[in-house]
Amino acid sequence: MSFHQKSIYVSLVNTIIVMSAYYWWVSGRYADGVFDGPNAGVEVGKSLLTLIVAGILVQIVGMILFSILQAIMTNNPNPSFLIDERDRTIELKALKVAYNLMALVFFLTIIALTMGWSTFAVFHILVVGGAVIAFVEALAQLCLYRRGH
Amino acid sequence: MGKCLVQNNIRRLRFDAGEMTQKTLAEKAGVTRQTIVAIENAKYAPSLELAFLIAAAFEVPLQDVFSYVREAE
Repeated sequence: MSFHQKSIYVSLVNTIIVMSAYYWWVSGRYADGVFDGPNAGVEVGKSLLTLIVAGILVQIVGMILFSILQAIMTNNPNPSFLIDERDRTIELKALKVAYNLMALVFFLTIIALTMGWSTFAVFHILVVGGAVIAFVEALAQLCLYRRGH
Repeated sequence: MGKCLVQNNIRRLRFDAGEMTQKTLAEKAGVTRQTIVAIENAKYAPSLELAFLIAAAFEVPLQDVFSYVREAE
């Protein structure tokens, strides 16, 4: 298994960790009524911004830890980060799946808006949709690697 | 995904080249070992450029490495 393939698994685990922590945190705030009232939009924005920053930090830290662990376990201080044409083709195919899913999520968001759902609900369709898309994209890549292409 | 129609003689050529390892071939062609494995098992059809690089690694013409097989065959 190449370094790139392994990093997809790490990315999957990071996504699960970030989303679980985010919903544990947001459900508490939701129960406290933070997302009700006139400041609901601001609070939704703040929590989404926190999610984005935390997501980026977890991905960076996760990849650094993985690289160190990989170097120790394989006894190779200079692992190959090479991404070749097959990796790029697989990435593009997975991205196509992700774009199709994104269109579906966007459509669901429009439906939610027309049905008069709250800002909190509409934005969280996008958040959950984004997480599902990231997850499916990674899974699609892993499936394509298993099949060869 | 359809069956890969590009067949190859990489395994035999590696043997003829003194049992060249997949890793060595990958390094010569500038790809990962996993890509060489996928090509060798006819699971992935390489680009024309990579096909030429693999042929160059064995110092043989392209048609000695790769061949196109029609689906009915």
